[in-house]
Amino acid sequence: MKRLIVILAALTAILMIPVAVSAQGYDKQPADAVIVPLGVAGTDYAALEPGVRGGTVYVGTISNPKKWNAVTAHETSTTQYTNIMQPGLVNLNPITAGYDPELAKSWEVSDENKVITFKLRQGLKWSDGTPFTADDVVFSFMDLYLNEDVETDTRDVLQLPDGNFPVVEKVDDYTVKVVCSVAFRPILNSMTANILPKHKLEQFVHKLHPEVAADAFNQVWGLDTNPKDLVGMGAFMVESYTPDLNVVMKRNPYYYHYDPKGTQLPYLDKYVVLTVASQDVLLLKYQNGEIDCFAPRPQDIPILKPEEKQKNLTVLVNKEMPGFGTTWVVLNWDTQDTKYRELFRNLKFRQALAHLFDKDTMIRNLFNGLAVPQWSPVSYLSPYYAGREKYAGPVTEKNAVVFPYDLEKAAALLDEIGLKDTNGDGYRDFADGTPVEIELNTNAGNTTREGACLIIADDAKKVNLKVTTAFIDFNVLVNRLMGQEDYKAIYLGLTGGTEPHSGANVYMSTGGLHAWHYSAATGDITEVEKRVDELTNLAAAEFDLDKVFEYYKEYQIILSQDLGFLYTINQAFVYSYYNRIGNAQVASPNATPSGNNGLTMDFIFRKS
Amino acid sequence: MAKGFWNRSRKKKGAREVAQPGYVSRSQSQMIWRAFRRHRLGNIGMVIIAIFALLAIFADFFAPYPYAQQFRQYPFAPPSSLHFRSEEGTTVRPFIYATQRTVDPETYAPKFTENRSVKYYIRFFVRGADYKVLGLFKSNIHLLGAQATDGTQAPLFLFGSDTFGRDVFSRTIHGSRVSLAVGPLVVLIAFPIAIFLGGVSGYYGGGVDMILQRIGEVFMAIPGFPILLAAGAALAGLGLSPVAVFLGIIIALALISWAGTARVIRGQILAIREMDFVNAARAAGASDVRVILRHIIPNVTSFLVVSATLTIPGMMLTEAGLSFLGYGIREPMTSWGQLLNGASNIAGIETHPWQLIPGGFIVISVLAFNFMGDALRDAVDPFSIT
Repeated sequence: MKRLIVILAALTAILMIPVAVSAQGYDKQPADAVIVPLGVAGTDYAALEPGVRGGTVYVGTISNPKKWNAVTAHETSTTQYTNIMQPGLVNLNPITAGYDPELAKSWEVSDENKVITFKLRQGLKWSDGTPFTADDVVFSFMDLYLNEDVETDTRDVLQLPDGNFPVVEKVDDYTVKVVCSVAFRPILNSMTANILPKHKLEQFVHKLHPEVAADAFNQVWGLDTNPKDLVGMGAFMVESYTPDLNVVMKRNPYYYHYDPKGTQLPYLDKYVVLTVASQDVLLLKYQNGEIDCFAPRPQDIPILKPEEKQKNLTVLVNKEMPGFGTTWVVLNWDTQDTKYRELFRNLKFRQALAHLFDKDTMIRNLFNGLAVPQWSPVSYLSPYYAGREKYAGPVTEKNAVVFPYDLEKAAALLDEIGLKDTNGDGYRDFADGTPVEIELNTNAGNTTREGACLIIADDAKKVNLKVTTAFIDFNVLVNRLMGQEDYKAIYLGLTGGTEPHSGANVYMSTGGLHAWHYSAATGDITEVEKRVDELTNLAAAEFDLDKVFEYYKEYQIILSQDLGFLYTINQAFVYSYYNRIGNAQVASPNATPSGNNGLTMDFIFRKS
Repeated sequence: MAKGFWNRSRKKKGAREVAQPGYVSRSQSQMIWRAFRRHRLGNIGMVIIAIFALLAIFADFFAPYPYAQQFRQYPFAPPSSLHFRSEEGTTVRPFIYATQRTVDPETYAPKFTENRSVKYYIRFFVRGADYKVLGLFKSNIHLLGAQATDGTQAPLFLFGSDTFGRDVFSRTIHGSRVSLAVGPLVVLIAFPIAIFLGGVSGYYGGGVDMILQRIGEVFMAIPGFPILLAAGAALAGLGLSPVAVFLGIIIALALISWAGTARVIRGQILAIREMDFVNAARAAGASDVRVILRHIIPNVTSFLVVSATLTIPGMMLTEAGLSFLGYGIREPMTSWGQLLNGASNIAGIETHPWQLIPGGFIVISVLAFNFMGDALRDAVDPFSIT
């Protein structure tokens, strides 16, 4: 037996040799390399500094990745790695949250906004040393994202308003053309889709190699893949993965970002993500210095803040900067009971309910003061946010449509629509005497959502409206929200981004997640819904961003007044890092090292 | 003194105590009661349980506030500090000051400062929220309250408050209803099952016994807590009301706990059914049902009583564990375990440790039940009486 192990070890050593000699990096800086202007005055990166090479940064997460395949991934626990390994043609700027050229050097729009031509960077290589060309881009779009055999969420966002999909064509080795049947501005948003290596993956695509099974690609790059077979162009590549322990990523020697001094990025040798059981363990590990960057919860701030000096760390709290996404209460306009259906469709009832939301209490008691009231379907950080002066202008008005906490007003509105206590049980009844009882659901285990529901129910009681709470399994809740099961009211949230069009599936009357009123898709459409559909289509076809802003401003105001979703509050952005990490102060909800996109990973560094 | 018939030795002992000629005759239950009373820890346990039971039954009266009342301006208020001396240094009846919550703009740590202008004296039988005594007649009298001389009230947080500013003391008292009810309710469901199946199995033996015992073994082999967690999660998935979830948990607890008891009952019945008096009853033509109900079951009653008393604390702990993990009692209902959930994270323990207080009530009541169970076991054991 001993001998066998020795032989195996010898064999492994021999097999390792070719791996060790490959992947040496570029001979010299490629001409089309991305220069990140760290510390260069007048740029977005002026506040940062060029760093030093070497070292490891540790961050933590509470969920394991499910696969290494960016195309078939659904969850952020996977995309937080694939986004680092495989950048797209364009990428979000970590500081401005605008779009920056990434694998594409530049692009231009022509033919009545229907054609976008991308010039690709030349001389770049995949992490295994293979040159990157237009073939990889065409392969990624035409053979993966737009291939019916492949299971991917990205296909939905690539679909054009007329139901067609864009066609991605190769012009030459370093030029691709995206041809759309109609002008569609948000298509640029979809060009952040990860680009994958054709030379590694085409063998698994049934369309190109009919000998493999139709769904073969869906199983490719699972967790059982040898990390050496993973190839990308991003800052780091996965080196090893131990479930429930960590994911170790090592720097990609062929990464094409350089600092102004000509040092190749990333600065770090390794980026390690520890997997732990809970947010509490993360906090302990952070306090103990085992992880370098951490996204605390509001209740962790009073614990971390006093330690700032002693432990030499920074806690960033920006009450003015809520995260992306929305939280709301939705009433089911299509619920089975016609009395409730009529009630929920009554704008005055929805207004009464909106006046019952004690957002100050929710913020103070549930978020330790670290949240902001929300009123708009578009994220506060989006350049299209209606409170801004103009496109990407300063925020001048935080709350254009407000329903202040006002029990008297709520009671008056309820009286006005004829909900009165007729049977003397202390709660309001319908005009015909049947008691009104609304069950408010949210997912069990989310303590802040549960808390918000209890506060709403308590306030409803004060105006004699019976609202009960039931906290249920997340999957059941989603079934209800998707209209597969009946419900009356749900408290939940949605993720968001800078591009309002990403909410089209929610706010358009035909949307798959038009949660309050699915029957709108079959003709039962209101005036507001008609106008929202119109504005969405106008904004999607318009390339003049100032005009787009005007469309979206009206869109936000009429949606908030109509109260399809009754918005509540949004947690403020909080983030913490040890001062031994340089350039970690770039902190926006989509850019933190422990966030989902890893946008700052290439230029953070460990101070010596 | 383990010799022969236990009632004979009792008589001797009784005779010595009364120091009078002649015998005092006592029924079996009287003798058990006498023996139980001599067990000091058991008595203490019984008194504690009685007090807790009273608190639970009249929770609305003993608790200063309804369990769901939110004092929203006071999230995570620490326990009210009782003052016994006025500024002049004279001893007065205990009073509290109203507090004001401020948040440190730097650390976001909340701070409660006392407003020393008005004293709110702790008074008994103050008027507060309406409730119904035993669901029958209306009242608004609460045992305790903090009231100033002009009649205004300040929130009294004897055990501090939770995230909604709800009084933990009031919630602890209301939570005793669930925590104390779980054990007896589980016993009420599980024991009839155990008695029936154990009785049938022991009395008839043979194939019936074989099948019933194997079924019991399957139930005993089920790992209890994971199954309960799954049941709790499944109940949550059904979107039931908190009361229905509570009943569901009790049924789940009963279903996994009957088998052990059934097995012991079977063993006892196996022994008893061969006794002469059982054979005599059978020979006299008594039916099976009569033999089981009149001759056999009375002989296992004492075992059942003791076993029930010792099962209750186990069930209380299981419920507390489930609720602590968030799979048991649902908001806005509360139980001691569910209250402890507020102290289930580091931030909770570090910044508002008073949320651990309900845990003390679990410890005390479990100990009380165990002491009482021990005492009962000693009292009903014929061979232990001296």
